[in-house]
Parts: sequence; structure tokens; C-alpha cells
Amino acid sequence: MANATTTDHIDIPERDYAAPAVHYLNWQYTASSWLLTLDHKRIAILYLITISIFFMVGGLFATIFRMELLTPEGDLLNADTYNKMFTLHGVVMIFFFLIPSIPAVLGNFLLPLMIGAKDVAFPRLNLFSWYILIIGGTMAVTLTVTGGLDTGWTFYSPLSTHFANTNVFLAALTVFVTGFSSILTGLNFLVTIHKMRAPGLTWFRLPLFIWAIYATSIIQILGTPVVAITILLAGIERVWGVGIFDPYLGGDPVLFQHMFWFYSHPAVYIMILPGMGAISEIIACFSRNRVFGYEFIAFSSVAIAIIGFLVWGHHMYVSGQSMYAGYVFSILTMIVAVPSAIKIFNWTATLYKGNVVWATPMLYAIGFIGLFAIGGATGLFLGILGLDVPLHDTYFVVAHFHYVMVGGMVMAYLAGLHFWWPKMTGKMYPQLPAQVCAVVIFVGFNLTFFPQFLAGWMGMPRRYHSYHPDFQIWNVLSTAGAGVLGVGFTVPVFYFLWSLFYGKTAGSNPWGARGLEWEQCTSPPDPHNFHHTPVVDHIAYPYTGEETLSV
Amino acid sequence: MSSAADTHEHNPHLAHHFETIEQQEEAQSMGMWLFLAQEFMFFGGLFCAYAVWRFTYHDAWFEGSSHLSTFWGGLNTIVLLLSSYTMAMGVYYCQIGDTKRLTNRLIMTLGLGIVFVAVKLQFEWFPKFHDGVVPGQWWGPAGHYADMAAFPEQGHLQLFYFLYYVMTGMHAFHMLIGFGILIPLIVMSAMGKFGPQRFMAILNFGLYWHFVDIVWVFLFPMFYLVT
Amino acid sequence: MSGHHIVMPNTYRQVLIVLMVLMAATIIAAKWEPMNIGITGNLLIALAIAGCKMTCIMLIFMHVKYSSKLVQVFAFCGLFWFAIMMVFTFNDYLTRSWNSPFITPAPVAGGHAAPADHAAPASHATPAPADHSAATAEAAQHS
Repeated sequence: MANATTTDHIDIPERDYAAPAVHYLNWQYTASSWLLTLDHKRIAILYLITISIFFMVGGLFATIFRMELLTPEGDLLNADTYNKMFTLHGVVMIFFFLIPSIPAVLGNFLLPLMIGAKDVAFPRLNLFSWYILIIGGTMAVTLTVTGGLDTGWTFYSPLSTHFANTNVFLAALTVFVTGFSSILTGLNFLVTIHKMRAPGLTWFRLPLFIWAIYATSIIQILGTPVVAITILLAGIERVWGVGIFDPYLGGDPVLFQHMFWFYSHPAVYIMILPGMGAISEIIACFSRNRVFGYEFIAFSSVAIAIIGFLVWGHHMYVSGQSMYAGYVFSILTMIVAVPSAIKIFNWTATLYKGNVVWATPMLYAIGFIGLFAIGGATGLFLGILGLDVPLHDTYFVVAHFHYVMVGGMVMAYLAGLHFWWPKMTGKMYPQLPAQVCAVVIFVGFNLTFFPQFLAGWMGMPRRYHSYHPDFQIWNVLSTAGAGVLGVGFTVPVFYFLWSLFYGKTAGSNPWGARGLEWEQCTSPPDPHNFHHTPVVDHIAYPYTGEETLSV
Repeated sequence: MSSAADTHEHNPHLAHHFETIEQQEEAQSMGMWLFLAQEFMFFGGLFCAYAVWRFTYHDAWFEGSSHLSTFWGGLNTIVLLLSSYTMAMGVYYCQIGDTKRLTNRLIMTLGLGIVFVAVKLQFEWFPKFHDGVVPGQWWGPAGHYADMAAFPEQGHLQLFYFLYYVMTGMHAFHMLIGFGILIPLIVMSAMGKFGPQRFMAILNFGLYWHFVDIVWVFLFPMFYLVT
Repeated sequence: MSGHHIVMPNTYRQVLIVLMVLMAATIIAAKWEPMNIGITGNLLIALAIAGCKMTCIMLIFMHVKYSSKLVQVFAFCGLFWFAIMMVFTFNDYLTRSWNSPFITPAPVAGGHAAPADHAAPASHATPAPADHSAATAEAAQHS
């Protein structure tokens, strides 16, 4: 157990290389001790396994349709199958990977540790959320094997309510059920952050990851129910043959888009905000510097959560929405870019004059900054009313979204996983393969998605299984990149599993990082997290920039 | 801090991960309010859709509303407001430790809730089903609703009734969930499990029940009183 | 006992009476002909009365009046987010039929060029401009 650092005196805590004899992973072994656990750390592991499986499934769908796109003709898949592939890719990746990934895995594991609590506020609710995700996942699997879904992940009416021949109602129920997993997780986290902080841990001493999770939880609680009822309504309309979205009886499909994007635009911030929180932790640790402008990063998270609710109409410029609404949404979209930019500038300023250590998490974090900057800036292109009209529904949108979601979110998730893996398992993975793998993912990612910017700029529409032969070169590059990316995503599975059995014992604080989870917890943590309730009397990230670290 | 922890060391209602009973109660109360905020947005989506179509198809809304019974709707409003009152009184008796009256009030709340749903089904939904006031392929107002068939905007009228069924149905569904929680609470209350030291479950259920009441307070003028 | 406020039964009874009175008021406002002040007015009255009932229930029955600031904020935030949804949705619906002062439509092949002011949806029967025959405007509206 490391010393409790309760003074302003700053030094790297002594590294102890011993793993505790009893920790949360080994104190009980039965299946029920895992499946009925109320321990937030074990629930985090359950989530980790679940979403890793969903990530592989979603990736498999992507691999299949990327192979189809290798040639301009629709030769590998017919149009119907292709539609189902990209729809299932979207549904699985968004609802079962991106949304639960950082909040449910890293958030569950770290939130009580970072704020010095024994558990989240409602442990039973926490376990229940996981079971809801499993029920939703089972429904998604049922959906896949009973004919799939071909409406796109957006369920636009009247395609979904009237014309699609696939199992839209089951898909709607799947999203509805899964949404409650997200809502209850957010609720749990918000109460935990408000009520469970250790003595002395005031709001401005909180790690920035907690601020990000807080902002995420606001969106989860206030946005998700709207999409739940919207998609349920679309499902009921389909069964009932009447409805408010279907124009058949006087309904308005644009209303569906309003209600859908009211959640689904803020939902992209559910996906990216916790990633930004993880990046703040990692950048501070591996540049051995205090985070530059702590308050700005903290409040920019909350600002994104709130302003993010005011911009949804930028998905609907060409849908028949009033152009005046378009103007307003376009201006607000420019404004929501400001807090994101503040974060990027502050991370960069944190690196300045720091002792940057190129450990694996830092490689991912640096990659995140670059890729997220590209993804965010192209988002502004698309937020501009005039420019969106030609770019709408082209591969430019696809590339932008994947730069933010894969280049941003998945990189941040991998960064976080590599950063906290020693804490979660008590084992260190081998650095060199992991560093090489980070570079491979970065290269593979850019090879996959940068050509899509070009193809989209030239006018290649999305969601078609065949395309004009002029676009073939970009698609060949993209598919090649997807292969590299696939390898990059597979290798970590092996070295992580390897490290569980053969990895070096990490010790409680292998990175010399600051924060309660590193300084006052063993690796892996005790079943009850802390032996004594920690008391905090200093700011977050008291790095001096003087220390050096070798990994 | 330590003295507070010591005094609550023996409190059997304090979960292991909380330091004090105050912290636990505040967390539970806050969790319930956040859940209600979530519920509010859930119904909020429906209210938003309702608002759009009410402004767009006012004539159909007026026509549809004029065929809903203000009597049964008003009666149900009274029933629900009364059940909210009995629930609030239940919280009071729980806080002062009068378990017998608490059980009593919970049973009255449940009874009034059942009256509400029964009236809704027996005097509102079933007669409409019988007379063909069902949006979609079975649409064909007849009997008591026959003069509705002459209304020119049949599609818009169906939208009104679609929203009527979905919104009151979603409300009634929340009442059914309430029954499902209320029955165990009554049993536990009769066993004397609640009192001044342990009332969060009653308090939080009360919040839920009042929320359901508030939803109806809006649904009533929105559907029964369109003029 | 954690100092949770106990509201007296008399207060609950008074609230119940207020709620019943408001219930009667909303029916009278809607059904009594002299109270009929037009579509928007009636709706505003109905919503105002419902809002009063909601406030009574929340403040007293749900103890918001006696709760911490935090609970009061949470009780309010649902309302705030709902307002966001309504404001921006209606920002679309209420401005859809406006005519754009900025856009002049390209001439339609065949010479049926409609001025910008008349490119609005067909439901807006704007009078034909002086230099166009009524028939041209009609054709433009149906095109």
C-alpha cells in the first residue's frame, strides 16, 4: 500500500512491486460471485468482456461490407444484405459498444476509486444495468439471426415505419431496452459523484475524468428517454399501421428526425466526452505536468453536455426542416466547437515543457488529439449550412464520424485501457508490442478513413453497395486500411490475455501517476477499495514537471 | 466524522458503502429525482409530438376531444388527486411512526389507483374499441361515435386517437408499475417494516406516484378539454 | 431521523382543496362559453392551470419546498430540457412557411418562373403579383 500523500510535498510515490494477497479478482471464485456481484470493479470486468464481444461482432460486419466495396460492382453482397450489414454495424457499434464503452467499463471501475468511495451509490442498480445490456444484446442477436435490419441505425420513417420488410419492431425494442442500461448507469454515476466523494475532495479537486463522466451522465439521463419513446413510437406505428411519423395519415417524418436527433446528437457526446476525460488523465501523467487550465477543461465538459442539446438540427439541413431553423442550428454548431477546441489547446499546452514519456497510453492519447482535431474540424464543415448540402449523405460524413468515433473515442478507450490495465489486473503488458500496435492502429485508421474524405468530397454517396468505378482507388485504399486496422485491434487481445498469466507484476503505481486510485489503492484493488476512507487535501494532478519516469 | 460513523455502526439499514445514514438517504432521494427527470423527458417526447400535431391539426383535435367524456375524465382526475393525497398522508404517518395508518393509506392509494384504471378501461377504452374508434385498419367510428365518420379529416382524427391511446396508455402503464411496487410496500408496511427510521422507500414511491399524477394533470386538459 | 421535514396533514388537506378547485376551474374555463377566448387563449389558460396544479403537487406533496437546493435544481432541470426540445422543434415548425428574403429560385424551363415570395408551400395562397397572370401563379404553386 503506497503512502497516503496528504501534504503538498510532491514526489513520485515509491513503487512497490508486490501484488496484494487478496484482491477483488481472487477473493471469490464461484460463477455466482461474478454474475451476482455488487462490486463495481467486477461489474466493470463484466462490461469489458461484453462490449469486447460486441466490438468484434460490429467489426465483423464492417469487414464484410468493406470487402464488398473493394470492387465497384455489387458482386459479394446483394443490395439487401449490404443494407443489413451496415445497419447492424451501426446499431451494434453505437448502442452496444460506443455508448457503454468508457462510461460502463472504465467509469464503473474508476469512479469510486477516484473519488475515494467504497462503491457506486446503488450497486444493485449497477448490476441490473449490466443485465439490461445483456437482455438488449440477446435481442440484438435474435434480430441478427431472424433476418437483420436494413433501415440504417437511424430508423428513419417512413422507411422504418412503412416500407422495410425486416424486423423493425424487435430492433426498436432492442434500442428501447438497451437505452435503460445507459440511463440507469448515468443516474448511478451522477448520484455517486454528488454524494460519495471522500472528505476534502471538493469539486475542483476532482480528476477531470470525473467531470467528463458527470457531463456524460447528464446527457444519458435527459437524452436517452427521448430516443427510447421515439423509437418505441416508430415501432408501435409500424405494428399499428398508423402514426404521427408516417405521412400516410398526415404525420411528419421530419418530426421523427427531430425527436431522434434530440438524443442522438448529444449521444455522440456520450461517446466522446468520457474519452476526453481519460485523455486528460493520461496527458497529465505522461507529460509529468499539471493539466493546463483545469477549470476550463472541467467546464468545457459541462458546456458540451448542455450546448450539445441545442444543435441536433444540423443533421436535418436537407430533410425539409425550415431553413431558419437551419440557420440557428448552424450557428449553435459553431459554438459547440468552442469547448472542444479549448480542450485540445489545453492538452497541447499541458505537453509544453513537460517530460513527455512515450508509453503506450500516451501514444494513443497523442493519436487521439490529432485524429479528434481532424474529426472535429470536418464536423464544422458539415455544420455549415451551405457546405452540408452537397456533402450530406456522402462518404465525407462517414469519414468525419469515424474520425471522431474511432479516431477519437476508440483511441481514447484503448488509451484508457492501456493506462488502467495494470490497475485493473495487477499485471503489466509488454510495452514494445503494445507501442508498435498503437502505431499500426494509427496508420491503419488513417489509411481506412482518409480516402473516404476524398471519395466523399468527390461525391461518392454513402450506403450503396455499388459505386462508380472512378471511386475504386479510394475504396481499395480504405479496405486495405481496414485490414491493417483489424490486425491492430486484434493484437491487444492477445497481449492483454498473455499479460494476465505471464505479465510482470505491476505494483500499485507503475506510471508514477497521481490520484487516489494510484496512490491509495493496491493493484488490483482490495475488494473494498480502500482500507481507510481517504482524506484529500490537495488539488488534482500535483505533478511538477520535474520527475522523470521510465517504463 | 468519526463520531457519526460510530453512532451508525449499529444501524442495520445502513449499507456498507455509505458512511452515514444521512448520506444514504440523500443519495436515495437524489437518485429518485434523477429517475423522475428521466421519466419527465420520456413523457416529454410524447408531449412534444402532441404539441406539433395539435397546432397543425386543430380541427381534428377539437372533433376528437368533443367525443371524449369530460365526466369520466374529470372523475378520474378527482380519483387520482385523492390518491395523491392519501399517498402524501401515508408519508406523514410513516414519518411519525403510525404504521397502522400508513398501511391504511397505502391500501387506499392502491384502491383509488385501481378505480382509475378500471374506469379508464371500462368506460373509456372498451366502448371505443367496440365502436370502432381504433386508429389503423380497424378504424370505422360507429354507434356512439357514428357522427365522427362524417368528419372530413379522418386521417388526422386517427392521429388524435393514436396519441390518445399511446399517451394515456403509457400513463396507465406507469400506474400498473406503481401497483407492482405498492403491493409489496403494503405487505412490508403491515409487517411493521417502516417507521421514522426507515421511510425512504415510502417517500420515494410517493414521489413516483405524485409524478404519475402530474402527468395526468396535463393529459386531462390536453385530451378532454380541447376548445 | 435525519431531519427530513415533516409536512403537517393540514397542509396536505389545503393543497388537496386547492387542487380540486383548480380542477373545477379548468373544466369551467374550457366548457363554459363566456370563458371561450379563442384557441390559443384557451390552451394557455388550460396549461396555466395545469402548471399551477403541478407546482402545488411538487412543492408540497413532493416536498420540493423543504428539500435541498440540489433536489430543487434536479426537479427543475427536466423542465428546462423539455423546454429546449420544444423551443427548437417549434423553431422549425413555426418558421417553415416563412418566405426567404435571400433566395431567388432559378428560372423554371418553360418560363413559369415564380418570384421568390411565391415559392412557399401551396397552402399559402399569396396573391399573384401584378406582372404575372393568376394562371401563372397557380401553375407555379402546383409545380
